[in-house]
Amino acid sequence: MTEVQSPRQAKRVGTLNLGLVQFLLTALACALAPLILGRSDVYSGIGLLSPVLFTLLFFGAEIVLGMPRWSTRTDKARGFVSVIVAAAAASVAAFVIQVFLPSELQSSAGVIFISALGVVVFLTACLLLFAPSIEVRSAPSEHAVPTLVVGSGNAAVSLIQVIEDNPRFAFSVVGCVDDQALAERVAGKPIVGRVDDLPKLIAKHEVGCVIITIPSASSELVKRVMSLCVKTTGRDGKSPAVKILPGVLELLNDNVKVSRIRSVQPEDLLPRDPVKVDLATVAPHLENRVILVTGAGGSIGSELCRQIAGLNPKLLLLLGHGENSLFAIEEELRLKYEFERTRIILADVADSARIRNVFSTYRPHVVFHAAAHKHVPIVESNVCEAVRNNILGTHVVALAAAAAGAAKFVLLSTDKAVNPTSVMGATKRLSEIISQSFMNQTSTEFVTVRFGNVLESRGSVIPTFKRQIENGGPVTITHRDMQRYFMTIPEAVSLVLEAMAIGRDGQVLVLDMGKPVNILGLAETLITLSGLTPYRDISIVETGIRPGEKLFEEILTSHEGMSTTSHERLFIAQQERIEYNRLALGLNTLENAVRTGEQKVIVDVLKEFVPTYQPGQHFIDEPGIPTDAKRSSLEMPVEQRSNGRAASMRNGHPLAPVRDTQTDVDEAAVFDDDSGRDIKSQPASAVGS
Amino acid sequence: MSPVPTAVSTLRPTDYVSQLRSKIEDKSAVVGVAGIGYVGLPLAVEKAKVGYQVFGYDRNAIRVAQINQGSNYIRDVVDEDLAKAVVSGKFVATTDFSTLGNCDVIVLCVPTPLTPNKDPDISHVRNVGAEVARHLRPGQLICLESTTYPGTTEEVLLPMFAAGGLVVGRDYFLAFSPERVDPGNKRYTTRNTNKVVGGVTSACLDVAATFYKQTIIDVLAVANPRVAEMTKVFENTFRAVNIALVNEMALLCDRMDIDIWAVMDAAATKPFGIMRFDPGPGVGGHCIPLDPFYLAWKARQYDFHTRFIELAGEINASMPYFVREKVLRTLNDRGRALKNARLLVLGIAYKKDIPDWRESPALKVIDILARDGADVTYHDPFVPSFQDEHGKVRQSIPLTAKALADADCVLITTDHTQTDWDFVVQHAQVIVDTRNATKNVSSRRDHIVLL
Repeated sequence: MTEVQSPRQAKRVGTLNLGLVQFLLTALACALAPLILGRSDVYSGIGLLSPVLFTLLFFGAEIVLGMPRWSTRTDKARGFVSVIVAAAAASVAAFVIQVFLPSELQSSAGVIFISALGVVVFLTACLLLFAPSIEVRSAPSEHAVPTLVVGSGNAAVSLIQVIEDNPRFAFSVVGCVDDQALAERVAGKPIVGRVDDLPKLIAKHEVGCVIITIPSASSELVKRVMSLCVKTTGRDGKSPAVKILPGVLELLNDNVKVSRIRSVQPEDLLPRDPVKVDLATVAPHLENRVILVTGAGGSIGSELCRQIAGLNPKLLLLLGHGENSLFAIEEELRLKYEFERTRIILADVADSARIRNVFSTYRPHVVFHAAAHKHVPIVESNVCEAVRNNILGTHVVALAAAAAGAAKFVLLSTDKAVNPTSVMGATKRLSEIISQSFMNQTSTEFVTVRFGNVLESRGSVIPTFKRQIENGGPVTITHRDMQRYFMTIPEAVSLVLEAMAIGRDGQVLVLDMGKPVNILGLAETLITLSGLTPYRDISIVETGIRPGEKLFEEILTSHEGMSTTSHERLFIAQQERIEYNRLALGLNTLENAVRTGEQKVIVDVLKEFVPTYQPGQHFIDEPGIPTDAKRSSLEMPVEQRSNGRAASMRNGHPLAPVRDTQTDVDEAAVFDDDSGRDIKSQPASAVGS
Repeated sequence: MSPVPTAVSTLRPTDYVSQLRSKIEDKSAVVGVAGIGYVGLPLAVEKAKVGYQVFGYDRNAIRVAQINQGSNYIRDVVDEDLAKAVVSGKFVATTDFSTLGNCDVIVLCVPTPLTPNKDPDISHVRNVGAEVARHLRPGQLICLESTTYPGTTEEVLLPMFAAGGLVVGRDYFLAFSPERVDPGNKRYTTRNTNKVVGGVTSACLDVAATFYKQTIIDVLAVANPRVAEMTKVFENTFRAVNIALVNEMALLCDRMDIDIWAVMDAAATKPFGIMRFDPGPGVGGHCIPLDPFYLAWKARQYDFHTRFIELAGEINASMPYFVREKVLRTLNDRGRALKNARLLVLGIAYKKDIPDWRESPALKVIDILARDGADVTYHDPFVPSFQDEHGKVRQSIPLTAKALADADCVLITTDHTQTDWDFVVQHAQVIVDTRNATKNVSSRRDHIVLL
């Protein structure tokens, strides 16, 4: 097995060799058995028949029972058991066969017994004596990546055992680092130091991979490990890869598998606690019911569909505008979740005739209204369509849901609806007002759920940053002090389901998004994560606040108090209610204004119902034409400014290097805005679905 | 619109009777319906279907918006009929009364609830009457359909209208014609249910009867509005009293260990002199529990005490407590206490096959059972959720074998046709059936306790 390259091949050869060794040992034991009994007479003539017979039978039994693999302690125990069982089976078989043989071919029961005993003793001894060396030989050595494990808890133990058991993963664990190690060895591997010793250890062992095994690892720890690793060169003169074991929830659902180790993701670096959802409160609303999701093809809508499908609804209606995205989610539900009780409903939420028909046909029990146009800058220059879709669409769906006797109508909203500075935010606030105005008017409960940014949503900041880094930069941010809340879509959606269950008629529920994150810091971290150095390899450019954008998202307006709910991550915003009768007149005006295209009327109505709305300057100066954002380069630290690699900072003309990526930057700025405001749902029409 | 009388026409007064009659007959009259709920909406859709231009007025702007987008919130109205009427523009809803004030025919279908003290609350009739009076012009027919005490039309509405100087029966027409909508009744709809009409004058009656004949097969004219008003209140009192009589029989039969349902079935075979009523957990809906109070209240003005009505009310109100007793005894037989017992209530609606749970006896039953510490859940295919009087929202749970088996006792309070009673009986531990909904179930009869 010297030339063997792949661990898998090595293992097969090892097994063959072991089989041969076993066969020879077995034959030897059988051959010597008569000698031990003092019956050397059997060595003449046909006397050897019974040892040969026994050897063959034993081997047959071994093959049927499965060859012991002799590679770990567990396998040793299993190997011992299989030897005993095989010996017993072979003895019984030998006795039975002997009964049918002519008497001259029979040997005494003692011979068979001694053969069996000999085989067991012999093979067990070999197992104990030689297995360790076999084990070492079968482990891949040349190609395994020297690996350091961060942590020394149960997860570390499981991880190391799994790695040792599966040579094909080609890791070789050098040892563990832990600041508070409880033992000296972890699954046979030594504790080699503390987290701060990582650079030294990486250099010494030429470490190629660092795996964080603390399931509840705080983002601070992940960041610390990241920064220590990035500074050091290990195997092949490169910084080691940092990987992380899945979080608690994933661990609960799945045993540790090496295949589940993944690279550090941006969300690992965000400060947040895992979301706990009480299925017992959520399931009764969805199980065996007809559920409708508008904007089902969008990032939030499709995740809603995935989670709802898991709760076994009678029928899941996927309502949306873009057939491709609807088809995609339906396929995904069918293939990945084996959920087939879906129906695609192509409809525009503002088309009252269509929506009314859908509702009277299916009479859904719970309606999740996730359809909306959400891209702030796009909405800013497409006011009429945004009002039609976001406001009038919500109105149409709410009316139809109430008429059809739905139990719950859940409006997905955004923190941008609080003291809005954008048309998008104002339209969402007005949607909330519509939903609230239905309170106590119908048998349907109207619940609004408001949340902040979600990660990995289409057009969200992280994918944009990643793409910019891949393209060699620069990474564009709008302002160095920009702060945003972040949450993953599955987490946010889990909270939406919880909110649906505990929210009462007319309530606006707010998700606790964790701590706000500085966008500049996020950009720097992402660059670091990619193994590059901010400002040296990739520059960061500040493009300036865009129309409708805010530095800090407020989850609540200053007028709103907050009261708690039975769920620790959900709060009730005390919102002023507007009588539906008053609202109806405004909606009428909006409908007409949308038809005639009077933006000024629209802005006036928005201001009337959302007094905190501050329309962008462009609505006052040049209606309909958002001002172009100014760009300025972000000042970088002095010590790095001298670095010649700061390509984008050429000769103090920060804009110059950006020119050639104008389109990219534009788009990025668009998405960046959105990242700030990336909420919700897929627009029912709008951007690529 | 009819022409405003001019100075010339005063020589020979305009004949508003024949003018309005012909407008009604050739469907050129514009119809306004005030209050587009259970009564008003089916009426409005019927009128639009035969070709009238109909305006629906409601103070509830959500309803108005739902109508205008064609969303139907009343099960008795066919979705397509409403959509067609709305899309064709024949039916338009509004929160602005002035649109209605200009109609040729105005039908008032506003609610007539009770005050917290169980006195008639006719403020809706007064308010909408005042609006009509403000817009009143010659050549209009005003019909009141709301259930009310005898005298409302002539004592409340007529003085309001007369104040403007127009003469009833000559310039404008006023009539009372009670609604007889039976929600959920597939056999008797607005169209084939006889309609009683009483006009303030004979001309009023003439015009009003003509109007109703356009969409209703049989219209019965009575001498005056008070007869029509009394007819409606009597109809509902008749039901309330008879149900109470049967309920009282049920209480007695329980004491004597006689099957009340068998008695009712047997009595119903008599071809004359009897009418079938079934006992139940109490009475519900907008009519039967409420209307007798209207009559009793009015009767007191005449120093008359309607003893039957009071007694009927008392017995019917006691039925939810009797249901509790039944549940209590049923659990007791099985060695269980009501406290912490898991009860599954089937049916919240006050009668079968409708989504209306207001005034439903099931609410009262749930309330008193929950007060005694029972763990109550419910299932109703028509009522996904409701809010009880303490503000607690309850959600209907799916009717599964597990839900049935988990309940210490299943209580049937509404006999919805679509419920699979065999399935219920098959899986429930024990059933208290207040509606004899399980009459066709043959297996496990020993697990069913009838009222």
